[in-house]
Amino acid sequence: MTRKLLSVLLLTAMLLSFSVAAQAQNADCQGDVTLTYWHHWGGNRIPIMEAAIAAFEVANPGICVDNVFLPWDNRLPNLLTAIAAGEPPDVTMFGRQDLPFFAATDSIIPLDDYMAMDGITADMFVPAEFGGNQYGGQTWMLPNPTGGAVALGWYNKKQLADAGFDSFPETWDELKEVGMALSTGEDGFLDHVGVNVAATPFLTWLNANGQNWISDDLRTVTINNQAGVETMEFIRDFTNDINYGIEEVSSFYEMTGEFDQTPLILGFDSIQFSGSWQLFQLESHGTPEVFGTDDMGNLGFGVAPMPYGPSGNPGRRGGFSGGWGFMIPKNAPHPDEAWQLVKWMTSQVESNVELELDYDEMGALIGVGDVNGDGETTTKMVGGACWFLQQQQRPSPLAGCDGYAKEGVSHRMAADILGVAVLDGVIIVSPVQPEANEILNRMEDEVLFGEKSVEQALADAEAEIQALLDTFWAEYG
Amino acid sequence: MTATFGTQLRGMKGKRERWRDLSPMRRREALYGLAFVSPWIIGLLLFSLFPFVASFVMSFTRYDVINPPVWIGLANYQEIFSGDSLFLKSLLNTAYYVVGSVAIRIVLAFSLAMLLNSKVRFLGVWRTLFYIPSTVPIVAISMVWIYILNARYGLLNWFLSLLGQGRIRWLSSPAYAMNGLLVMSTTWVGVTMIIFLAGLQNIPEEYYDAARIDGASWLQRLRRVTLPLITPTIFLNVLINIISAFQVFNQVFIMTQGGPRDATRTYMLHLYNHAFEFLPPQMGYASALAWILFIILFVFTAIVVMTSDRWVFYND
Repeated sequence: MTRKLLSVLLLTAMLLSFSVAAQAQNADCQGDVTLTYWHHWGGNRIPIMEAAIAAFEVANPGICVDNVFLPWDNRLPNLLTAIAAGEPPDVTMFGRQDLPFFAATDSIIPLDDYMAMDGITADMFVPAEFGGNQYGGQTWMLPNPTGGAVALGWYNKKQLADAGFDSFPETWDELKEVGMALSTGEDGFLDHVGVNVAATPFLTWLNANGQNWISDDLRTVTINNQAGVETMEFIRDFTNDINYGIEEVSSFYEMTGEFDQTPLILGFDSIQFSGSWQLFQLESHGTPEVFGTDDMGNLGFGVAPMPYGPSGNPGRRGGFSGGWGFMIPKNAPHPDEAWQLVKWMTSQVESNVELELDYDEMGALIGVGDVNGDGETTTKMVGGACWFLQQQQRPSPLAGCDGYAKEGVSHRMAADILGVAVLDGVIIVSPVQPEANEILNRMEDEVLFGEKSVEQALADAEAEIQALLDTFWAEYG
Repeated sequence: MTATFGTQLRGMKGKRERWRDLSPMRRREALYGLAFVSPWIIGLLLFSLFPFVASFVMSFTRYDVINPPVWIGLANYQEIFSGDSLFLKSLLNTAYYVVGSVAIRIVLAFSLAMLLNSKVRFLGVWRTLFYIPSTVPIVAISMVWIYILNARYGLLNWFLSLLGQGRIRWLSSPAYAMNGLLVMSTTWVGVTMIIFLAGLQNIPEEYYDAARIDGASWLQRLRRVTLPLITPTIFLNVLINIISAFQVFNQVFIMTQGGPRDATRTYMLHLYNHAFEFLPPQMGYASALAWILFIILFVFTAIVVMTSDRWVFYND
C-alpha cells in the first residue's frame, strides 16, 4: 500500500514538474485553423477586443483565434523569444519604433502581395500613419489606431482666453508668449504651467522645425545643424526661463498622473501635446470648473496642430516616431489566415456580423453574450478596424471610417483631430531607435542641467548615434 | 525514512556503502529519495546551472536572439571597460546605494530588534507592523513612495518642514534622487529585523545576569555581551543585504527609470536596457555585464567571509 501510494505521489510530482500551462481558446468556435493573436489593449479595451475577434470568427468560418493579451512593456522579450524558439504568434500588435530592426533581420513578412491581392492601398489610410509602416520600400504592418497624431496640441480654451489669447499659437515664438503668460509661481516653485515643452521629444520638435533627424537611407544622423541648435535652444530656454528649470518643472508634474489625473484635466497646465486618446480622457474626466463650457454645453477644450519653429513651415507640424499596428512574423504557422485577421483589424470598414453584447450599468461593454447573467443582452453590429476604434471614441487612420460617422458614435472634434493628423509628418525610425532615444534623452538632460552647451551636446549625441548606426549596418547591412 | 539519503549511502555510522552492498529495501528507499528530489534537481540543472553556464559562453558572443550567436572573444568586455560611459556611472551609483542602504538597514533593523526584544506591550503587533511592508509587492510600495517623496505634498518633506527644512525635490533633483531611494530602502527593514530578533533571543540570559551582577550598565552590556554574541547574525544580514542591494532594479525601473540625469541609473537597469530595451538586443553584452557583477559580488562576499573570523564570534 505504501509503495503504491509513493508511486502515485511520485508520478504526480513528475507530471506536475513537466506540465505546461494550457492556452485558453474560444470554446464556441469550430475551425480547422486556430490563429494565435497577441495584442496589448488592456483595461476596458479587453471586452471590445474580444467582441471584435468574436465577430471575425463569425465572418471567417473555419478560423478560430486564440486571443492573448500581453503587457506592452514586455512585448520585445516576448516576441523575440517566440521568434527565436520558432513558435511566433500568427498575428501580433507591433510598435512602429521596433519595425526597422525586425524588417532588416527578415523576421516579419512584407504585406504588399497580400494588399495587392485584396485591393488594400496606401491611399485608404492617413498618409503619415501609413508611411510609418514602411521600411525599405515595403509595407510590413498596417495601422490600427491613430498613433500618428501623437503631437496634437490639446488646450484649455478658458485658460488661454483668460490670459488674452483667442487662438492656439502657430509658431514657437507665439508659444513662448503663451508660456510666459500662463507659467506662474513664486520663490522658484511653479503654481501653474502654460506648457511643458521638455515633455515632448526632441525629434518631434525638430520635425516641427522642418528638419529630418536622419537621412532617408537611415545611415546618416543629421541633428547637429542650424535647425537642431534652434530646437535644442528653444527647449532649453523655454524650460529654464519660463518653466523655472528642469528640476522644478519635473517636480511639478509629479503631482499628476494618467487617465483622470493628467495635468490638463486637473487644470495644472494649459497645453499638452498628446495623442488622440486624450479626447476620451478629456470628455470622461474633464470638468466645467477647469474648462468652462460653450453655448452648446461642451467642455471648453480644443485641439490644434503643433506650432512650427523658425526653420519650419505651416505645412509641416508635429510628427511621430511611435504608433502601432498589426504584423505577421516570419514562420507564422498560418500566414494566409493571419492576413485575414490583420485585414479585419486594420482595413475592415463595414460589417454584417450581429452579436449579442452585454453592457454594465454605466453603458460600458463588458463582453460577448450574457456576461453578468441577468438575462439581458443587446444585439449590435460588430466589426473590426473602424468599430474597434469607434468604441473608444478614437479616430481611425482608415479613411473609410469617416471619423465617427458609424454606429452613432460621432464626435464634434473628429474632423479637427483627423485634420491635424493629416498635417503630421513621419519621423523616420532607425533600426537602433530605442538606444538612439536614450542618447537623445541624455543629450537633452545634459543641456537642461547646464552640463554641456547646445552645440557640444548635439555633436556628442550625433557622433554616438552615428557610431551605433555604423555598427548596425556593418553587422546587418 | 528518518535518515537522509546521504547517511543511507554512507551507512548509519557514516561509513560509505557501495550501491551493490545495499539491501533491496535500502536501494528502493534510495531510489524513492532520488525520485522525489528529482524535480528540484532537474529544475536546478535546467533553470539555474544551464543559464549560468550559457550566459558565461554568451558573454563572448554578439547575440541578438533572432540570429545565431557570433563569437567575438573579449570584445564585449573591452567595450564595457573602454567605451561604455554608463558602465562606471551605473556601478558607482550602485555602490553608493549598497553602502548607504546596507548601513541604514543594519543599524535601523538592529535598533528595532533591540526595542522589540525588550518587554514592550503588544510585541506581536509591533513586530507585524514593521514586517508587513516587506510583504507588499514592489509596484505598490513604489507607488506609495512616489507620494511620500513628492516635493510638494509628500510626507517626508512635510516632516522635514517641521524641522525647518525647505522643499527637497527628491525624485527630480540629481543631488537627491538616490538619497530618496535610500530612504525608501527602509521599507524592507522588517526582514533584517526579524533575523536580528531571532539572534538576540538566542543569547542566553545568564550572560546578562552575570554582567548585571558585575555592575555593567546598559551600554556596557550592549557592547560587551550583545554585540559580540550577535556578530554571526550581523554577518548573515550584511551578506544578504549586500547581495540584494547590488541587484537593486525594481524601484528604479518603476520610479525614476534611471533619471534625473542618470543619478539613479543602477547597474541592473543598465544591464536590463541592453538585454531587453535596445534593438538589436545585446544579449552577449548584457551577459558580460552580468558576469562582471557576479565577479564583483563574489569578491565582496569573499572579503566579508574571509574577514569574518576577526569580528564574528560564535557562542560555541
